Amino acid sequence: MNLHINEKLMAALPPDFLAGGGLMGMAMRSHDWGATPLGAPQDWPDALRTCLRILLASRQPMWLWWGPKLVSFHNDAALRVMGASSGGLGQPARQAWAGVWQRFRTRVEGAMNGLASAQAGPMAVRRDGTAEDNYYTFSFSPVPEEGGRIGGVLCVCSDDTGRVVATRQLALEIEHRRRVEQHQNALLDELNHRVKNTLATVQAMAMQTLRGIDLQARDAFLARLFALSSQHDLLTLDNWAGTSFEGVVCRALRPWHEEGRARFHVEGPAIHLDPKRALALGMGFHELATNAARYGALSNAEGLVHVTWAILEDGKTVRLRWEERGGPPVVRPPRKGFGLRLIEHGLGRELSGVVALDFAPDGLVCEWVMKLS
Amino acid sequence: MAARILVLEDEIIVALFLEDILAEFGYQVAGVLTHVEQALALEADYDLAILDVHLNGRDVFDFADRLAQRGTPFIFATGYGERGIPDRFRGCSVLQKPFVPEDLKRVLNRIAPVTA
Repeated sequence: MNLHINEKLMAALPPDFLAGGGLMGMAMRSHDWGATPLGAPQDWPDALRTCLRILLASRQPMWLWWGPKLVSFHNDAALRVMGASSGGLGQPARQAWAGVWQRFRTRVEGAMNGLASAQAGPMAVRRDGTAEDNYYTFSFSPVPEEGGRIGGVLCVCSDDTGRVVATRQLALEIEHRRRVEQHQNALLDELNHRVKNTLATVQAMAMQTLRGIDLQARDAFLARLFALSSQHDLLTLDNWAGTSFEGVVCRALRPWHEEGRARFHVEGPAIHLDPKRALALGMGFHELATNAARYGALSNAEGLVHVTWAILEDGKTVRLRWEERGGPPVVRPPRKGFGLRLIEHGLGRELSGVVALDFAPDGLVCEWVMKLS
Repeated sequence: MAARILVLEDEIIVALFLEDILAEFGYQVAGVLTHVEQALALEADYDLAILDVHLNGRDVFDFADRLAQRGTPFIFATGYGERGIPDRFRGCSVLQKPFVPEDLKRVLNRIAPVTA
């Protein structure tokens, strides 16, 4: 008798596995389960009880469909995703999920047959009165009962909106940068082209103006123009991002290279030069080589030029040395021409460096020290 | 007989310069044109063409295609260098402006040597 009363009392109290769980917990406790295919909660199998404990305690959106009729449960977190009320609780899935049932049907039915799966994608959700696209991943897992038969399907949802939006923004940003870069390259191409055409016009003008007047002056002028143009090429190749020290040296000395004869010894560590320094140095080397070809080591058959550079201990300063050997005895020029002035003063000022020219009898030595930035 | 060379160049000073050095090298200048349209309308009484790539806002490539079809050799002379030339003209002679007369002479010698 006592036992019978206790059983009645127990039946009236909400079962402990439906404790907590906020709104949905409340809804589950007050639901008339007797009217559903599942019957009264105290008769529910352990697997279902465990699942509901997890579902109600979880802050992750979750759904559970139980039994052959797929009776629906969901938690408070799931309300955020559905944007709906507690409607659907205790109803068969095809009713509770009428709107989206077709999208999930095969997965839910698959899980009832023991096959877990996941589905990701956008879902329009009404939040704060505005419809917005959110991205979710729903994963469907079969829930086995004691004995191994699948009792239901647990669906856990993760909100990927933040990640998807971030990825999309990143893609937009990359695309934007690509466009800017493309535009910049087009502008650089145009600029390079114009500079080249202008140099070509200046060249043609000089050729016409100096025609038959002063061959030596004409050639010196053209050589300088080409030195400038050629260093310009080097920068163009790297889209004006600067260039290597060695590249500048080699390009400047190219007109004096002779097939099968070593006239230059070029050696130094890899150094990156910004365009301003690269152009100034290129012109400097051009003048040094021109001078050597007229009076120094490049004016006879035996002479050699050593070009060496090193980075000083502070890591920011370069010491560069141009040393001629094997040329005719050096005579200090009575008057410094444009080339030597360019080297001594121009480079000194332009590269904020210090230039020392030594007209030593057995070969000109030019040493300059400059900051890299 | 010296090859007859057509020059397409819209920068008149550069065109004059080309005319002079071509004559100096012993070639005949068949004409100097500043527009692609003129070139397309011209009867083909030249052996070789020197082509600036951009002439008064139009590129020279369809004229170059016609020359290629016809088997008339041509040389691009351009401030863009090889980067500005479409792939289909890979293997064609390209002179990067500005160029020294000797560079032009070398290219011309290869394509159409002056016979004394």
